[in-house]
Amino acid sequence: MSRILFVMLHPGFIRYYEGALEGLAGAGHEVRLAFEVSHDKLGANALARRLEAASPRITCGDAPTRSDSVRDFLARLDRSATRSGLARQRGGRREAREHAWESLATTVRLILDYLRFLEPAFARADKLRDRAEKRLPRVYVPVVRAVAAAGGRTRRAFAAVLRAVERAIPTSPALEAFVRGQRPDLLLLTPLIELGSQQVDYVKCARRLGIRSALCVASWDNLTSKGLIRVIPDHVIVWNDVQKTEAVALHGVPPDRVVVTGAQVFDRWFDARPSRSREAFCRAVGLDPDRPFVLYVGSSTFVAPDEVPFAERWIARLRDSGDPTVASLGVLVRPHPANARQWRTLDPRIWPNVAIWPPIDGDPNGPDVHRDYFDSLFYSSAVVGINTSAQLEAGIVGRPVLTVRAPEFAHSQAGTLHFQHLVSADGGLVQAAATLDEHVEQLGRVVRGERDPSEANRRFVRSFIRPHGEDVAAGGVFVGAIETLARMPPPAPRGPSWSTVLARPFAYAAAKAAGVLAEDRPLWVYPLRPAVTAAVWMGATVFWARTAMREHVRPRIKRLRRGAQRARHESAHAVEKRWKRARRRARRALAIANSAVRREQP
Amino acid sequence: MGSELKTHYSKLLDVHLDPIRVNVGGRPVLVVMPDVSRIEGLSVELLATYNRARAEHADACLLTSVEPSHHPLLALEPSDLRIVHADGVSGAWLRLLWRMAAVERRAVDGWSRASRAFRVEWSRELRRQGGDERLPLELRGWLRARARRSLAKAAVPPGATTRFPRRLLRDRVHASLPSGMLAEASATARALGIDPAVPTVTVDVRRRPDTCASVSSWLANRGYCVVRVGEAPDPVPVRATIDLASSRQRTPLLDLFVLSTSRFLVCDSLEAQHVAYLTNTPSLLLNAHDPFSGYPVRDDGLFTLSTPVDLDTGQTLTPDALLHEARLKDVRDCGFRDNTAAEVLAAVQEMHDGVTAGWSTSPGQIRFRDRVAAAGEAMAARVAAAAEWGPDAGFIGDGRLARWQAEGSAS
Repeated sequence: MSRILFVMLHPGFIRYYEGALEGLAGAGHEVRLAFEVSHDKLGANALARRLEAASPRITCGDAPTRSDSVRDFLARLDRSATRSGLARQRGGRREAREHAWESLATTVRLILDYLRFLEPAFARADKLRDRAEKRLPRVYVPVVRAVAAAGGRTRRAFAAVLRAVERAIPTSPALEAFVRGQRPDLLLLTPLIELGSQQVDYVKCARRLGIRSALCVASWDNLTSKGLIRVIPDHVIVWNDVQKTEAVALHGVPPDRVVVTGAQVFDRWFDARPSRSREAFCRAVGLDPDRPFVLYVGSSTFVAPDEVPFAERWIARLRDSGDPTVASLGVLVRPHPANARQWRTLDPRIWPNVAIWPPIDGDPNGPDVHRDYFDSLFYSSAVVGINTSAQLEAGIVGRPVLTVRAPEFAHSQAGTLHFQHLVSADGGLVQAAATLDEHVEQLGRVVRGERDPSEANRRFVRSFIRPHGEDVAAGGVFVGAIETLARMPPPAPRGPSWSTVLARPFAYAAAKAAGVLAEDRPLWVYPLRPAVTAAVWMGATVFWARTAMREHVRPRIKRLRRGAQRARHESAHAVEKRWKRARRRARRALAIANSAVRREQP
Repeated sequence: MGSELKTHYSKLLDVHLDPIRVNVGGRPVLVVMPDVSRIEGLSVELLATYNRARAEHADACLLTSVEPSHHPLLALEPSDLRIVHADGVSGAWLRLLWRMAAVERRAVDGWSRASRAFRVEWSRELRRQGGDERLPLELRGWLRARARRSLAKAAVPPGATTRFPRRLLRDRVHASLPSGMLAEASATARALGIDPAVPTVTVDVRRRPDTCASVSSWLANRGYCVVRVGEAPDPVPVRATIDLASSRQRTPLLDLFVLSTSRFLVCDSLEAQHVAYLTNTPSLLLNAHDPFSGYPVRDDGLFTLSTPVDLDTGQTLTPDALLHEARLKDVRDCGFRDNTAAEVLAAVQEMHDGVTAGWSTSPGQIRFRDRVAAAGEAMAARVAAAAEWGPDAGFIGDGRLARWQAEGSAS
């Protein structure tokens, strides 16, 4: 039985692998999940707890804390923030060194990611490019742009230099100790391709410690809409051949390292059955059970930041249609769980037979969520959306899937490569219309049953979701692949090459500079800083001197002064006493003398 | 959605430059160089200049690199104002004067911008230094206090922003297109089915054109020709309209011609409303997101507000909620629900009544206007949106909020 360490960015990624992880645990493997960021966004921690409860062989915990996480790095970039980073990091030299290396690593990775979106393949991906640019300290942006403008050869040479710098960055001892302590037979990572992701360090650790590593590509957009796989792990596990091509062409992964398993995340949809009758479902969601309905699936914030006006226009267009089939269709709106708030502005009551389901304040990880979602897909006559994985799920359930190429979503439709999979991979799963008129026409045809999407859906599912066969569960293939990889002999540990070691002092100088430049301040601040620091320390010296004076010197002076005063006072008093005594004696002597004189006088 | 309501008036003009006053041939002339690349601010800039020139009994001179005949807004000729055409030596001289004034203004602006930037960075640096735990506690506190002071000094006081010149837009300028352009536009309009004998209503609604479908039918039943202009997100033809938005023959000149000859305009953008001020077309602005920016300046103007919705609770708020400082400063938790077709129709009916039978203002509308003016005055020193778009020396506008909304708000 194998020990598997699965490092995830956050517990939300569990939902992509829930079934497969249970399968691995069921096969007797020990699975340890480590989360780099532990947050309860959309109740993701509940998933982790549920998984732990499901099997004693699955344990969850936090990955080691970074001294400069990507989040910290990006927080320092915020010029508008009135709170600034510390002038000096807490901890000793070792922490400062680690901090500098991590700053350099994040900088290099963000530059590589930005450079990627300046490649011709991403010429139309303006929004993706802008997102990558915003994460990068501004001082680097013109440099990267100039390099990109200089042509493909310069771009490649620049990327090679950055990769060499990445190689020169040492792995964190804490991370190494963590991985070594887990003694895994296989290290799995996901998603690894977030912009500036620090998960690369785990790949480097595994390489150094002689542990087999694999990237599990979580979703269909991961290889085209995010960052690069900057250090190639031993294996890359993808859904399908399309992603394999992307991994090879866009990330430089050798084809023999790519393992195609299918999309295990969708296995549940193949075996699912509706939980209630159509009539009961329609009544529960507030739709007319006698009319067919179309399901509108909402998209994520990045894809559709302002989706409600489009949805309203779309519903109005359906209602306004000359085609009675379309005009009387029920409409069920399913907001994207991570982009649900904006849907509060939609008032479904202004149209007949329109409803929002599930309720916006519902628990996205509740026990009935999947059941309700499946029912809504199953009973719908068609599914419409902008660009979301719900369209894939609709295809699996066998529903016709449609979209409209709306100008306000051009950045997330024509501007992303993964949208092209929806509309063109193996004939295309999604029917895309250029205008609402064309869309209404398409919708009318599919609702009336004039166009049967089942063959196109099946073809798409065979190639994109279950490449090993429509009846072969991708989760099983995934578990099999993981077991095979875990059984393979571990690779030989690979330490840094001599050239890397030689380059390290220079890289460290760059790391210190990267740490400073990550603050993203105007360049004139940096030459001014030593003077300001010197002034502050002079001020501190004066302050300390004043404090020392107040606390130590002044009381001593005071004591001395008091002593002196006392001494003076006492000595003066003694002199006076003596003087008085002498005067008394003198007087007495004088008196004696006088009386003697008087006695001698006759 | 940003954390503060959009305050983009000052952004419409790169460097807001008041006209310079010179004497040409013994007559005073107000010279201005409008930024023709930014169509959004141009109509306000032209109207403000014309009205200022009229108030100062001066002529106006527009310095542009574009021939007026190539830009319909620049081609509009005011009938009661002399426009000095700057060409030849005098033109070169006026351009030189303008550039000198612009350089001076830019230098002042640049200096104040640089000084603000320096103060912000200085504040951050002091905070950074104050974060060093090796320093004495009192010194760190002192550094933070200095940082706060520096940041406070760096902030632009809301009152210092460029104000939307409401008062200067209040008076009408009677301007018309030159006869040649007029004939050309008229012929194109006629070819597209716009009959000059039939009263026209222009619709420039881009966000939710579907809400205007019933409006079109209603207007058509009253003998109007409804013409849709503007950039449409999708070519959805609304019944009983002439859709210039998706027509290949659409030109800026045709848009302006249709607007200037229309009985009124129904729009959902400030830019369209501002052009209507220049052409003296009564306007109905739909779905304004705050009560200041969209408040109609002219007495033949009407506007509606989107319904604010609390995004945390889903509760709908009254328009008065948008007059609260906290809401104006931070709109992240506030969404907007567009007016329904019935609400738009009610507003259009009020517009039609106002245009045909004369305007009347209900007590609710008067109360709302007073509340907007009072709130704007009160917040001008603290809220940039109120300072920029709010009352201009106490004047918010002669227009009104749609009656259905004002009465609902009052109740």
